[in-house]
Amino acid sequence: MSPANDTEIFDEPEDSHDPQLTELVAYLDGELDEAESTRLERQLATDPPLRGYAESLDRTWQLLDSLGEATASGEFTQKTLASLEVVSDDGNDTSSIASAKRLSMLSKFPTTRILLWTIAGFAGCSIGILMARTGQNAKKESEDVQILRQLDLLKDFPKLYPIPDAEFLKQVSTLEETPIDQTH
Amino acid sequence: MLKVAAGDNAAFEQLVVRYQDRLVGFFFHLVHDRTAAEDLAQEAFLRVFRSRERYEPTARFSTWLFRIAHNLASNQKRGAARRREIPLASGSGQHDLSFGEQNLAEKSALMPTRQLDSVELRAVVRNAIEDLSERQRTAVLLHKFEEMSYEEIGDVMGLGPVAVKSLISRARGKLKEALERFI
Repeated sequence: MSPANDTEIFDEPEDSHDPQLTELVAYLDGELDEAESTRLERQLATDPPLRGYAESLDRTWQLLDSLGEATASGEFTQKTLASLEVVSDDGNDTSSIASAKRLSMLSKFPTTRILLWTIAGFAGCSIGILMARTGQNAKKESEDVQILRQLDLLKDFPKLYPIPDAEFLKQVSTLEETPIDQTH
Repeated sequence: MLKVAAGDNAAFEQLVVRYQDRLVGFFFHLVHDRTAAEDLAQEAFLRVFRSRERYEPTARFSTWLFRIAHNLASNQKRGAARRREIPLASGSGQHDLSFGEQNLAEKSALMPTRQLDSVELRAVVRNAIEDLSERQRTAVLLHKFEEMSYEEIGDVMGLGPVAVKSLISRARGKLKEALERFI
């Protein structure tokens, strides 16, 4: 059941193969046998440029540590196992990451959470309706108060109706203020 | 894994818990994106599960798991190349680096002698790794972060010992050329 069974084993060196580099790297990686290691160590002891090259190879390799290590997120196990349930349920093993994602989305919203959100939604709607009604009542009330204030004017409306305009009222007002000449 | 093959799903959960960080870490170094890395790791575990009944303990489980991961990454990359999507690191280089990191990497390349901070250094190292061929990159990641021997890397990648030796030495030579000015 090896997934690599369908892969042909390739065992040729890469292009631009440098035997000395290959040997040095294998030595640094602990992949040389004892005899080869001893021979190369002797060579390194007497060849400062080669030793410098080996040190440089080693130090640049250490720089890869700066990449750090990524780890799986907290939900990874749950998501993966949820996707397996899809595989098991399907029975034909044709599920994909997409279906697993859908399942994991659902698993993020369990029944309790859905219920709480529904209740919160209803409460929000009720408060909104209540506030809207209160606003309407207040508006209606203010209109009633205004009508009551102008009640006298409204009562006299039939008397005032024949008055043509404001200028006429001003003239009447001026006549009332002017003292009447009693000598006539 | 033998328990999983026998239908023990709880054993599979243990396998996921034990190997998830390593697998996500491997894919993360390839794609530089956590979500994509987790999707790939999840798919790899799914493939393990689907193949459970055909499992034969001829090699270490981790070798088998990373063989699946390697095949998955290779297939993904081939598919992406066909679709002109680039979810995996490839010759395009810096696709998943943030704009800042990209700039830093470019600046750093122009100023080899100055001291780099950790973010800059990470960007430079990422670029260097992305400049490797796909096979070199996989071999380097397996060797560096999974601490696999040449033989195990050969098992994972379907390569013989000479090819692995050559692959890794070439990769390390290229990394040295790209990074030695920063040491």
